Amino acid sequence: MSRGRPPIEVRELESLRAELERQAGLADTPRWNANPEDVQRSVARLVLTLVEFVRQLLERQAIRRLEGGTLTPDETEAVGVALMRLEATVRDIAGRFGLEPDDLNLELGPLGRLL
Amino acid sequence: MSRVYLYALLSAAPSCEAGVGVCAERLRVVAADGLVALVGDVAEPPEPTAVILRAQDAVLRRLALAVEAVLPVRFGTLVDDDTALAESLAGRRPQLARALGRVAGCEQMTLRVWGESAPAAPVAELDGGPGTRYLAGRRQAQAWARRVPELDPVRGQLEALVREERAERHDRPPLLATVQHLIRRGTGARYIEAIDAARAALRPWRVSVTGPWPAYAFAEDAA
Repeated sequence: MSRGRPPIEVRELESLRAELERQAGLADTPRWNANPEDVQRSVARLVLTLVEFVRQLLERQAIRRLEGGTLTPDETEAVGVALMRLEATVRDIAGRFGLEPDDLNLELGPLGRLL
Repeated sequence: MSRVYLYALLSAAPSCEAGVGVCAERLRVVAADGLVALVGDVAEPPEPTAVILRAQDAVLRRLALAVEAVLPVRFGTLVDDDTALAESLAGRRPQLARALGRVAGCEQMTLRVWGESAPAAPVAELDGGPGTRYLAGRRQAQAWARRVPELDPVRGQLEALVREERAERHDRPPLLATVQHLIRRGTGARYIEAIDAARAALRPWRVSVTGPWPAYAFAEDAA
């Protein structure tokens, strides 16, 4: 170790481990769980993940069009309101099933994570 | 019945023996449609343990001594046989060739930025109705997710060394961001010297450096 280079602290390593575990958790593909106690929640997670996936794709496309100047002000407002309400709806339904936003992120295999 | 475990794509077949892989299997190269893949034949997919991950890293480092470009493939990638491998590569040849060119003669350094709180994201005044402001806010958030202004004091010194960058904000103190830099092989010591020389200017943020690594963060196309 060179002079002046600070050592990594234990809490920094713990923080890194927590982040790696969080990202590894995101890589778990949502699956339908046949356990009767959990079936509604697991189906909701699966469906909401797909809806959120489509919503984020639409959002990225809208931002690209915004940057490209191909949306009129009225179109920008309409698309923004639609995406905003869709996000609120997804979060509302997810909350009813005890799901956090991170639970709805997707690991897209070779494409990496959506976010 | 064994399956084909894919380690990396190479710019050329290595001039030396490829050696053995993570399951002690003999490594071999498969040439397909102008691409060269480093593979081993394994009965079971390797478990993602620390020992196996280090062994796979060692395979890639060894190969990097023998060929100009090593494009790591995502850990655990298995295909049924050489024919399936060739078919998998055939449709992606242009992007894989570009990715091999990107990492040729290069290795990766990893910076982690630590601190008690992240710098405040710039907040621009947003005009328009709620939908317009929402969309503009999301655009700002996306741009911020790829920015690491904590490193601005050292960017001038790194400019001559860094060929490409991948940045990811975590903003989960003390871990604030991870930045991957693609540098020319053999320039890692100069890179670390540049970071060390800038530590005072980087305060209050702390930066840790690891590497050089195979270019894991720059191999998205080979995943």
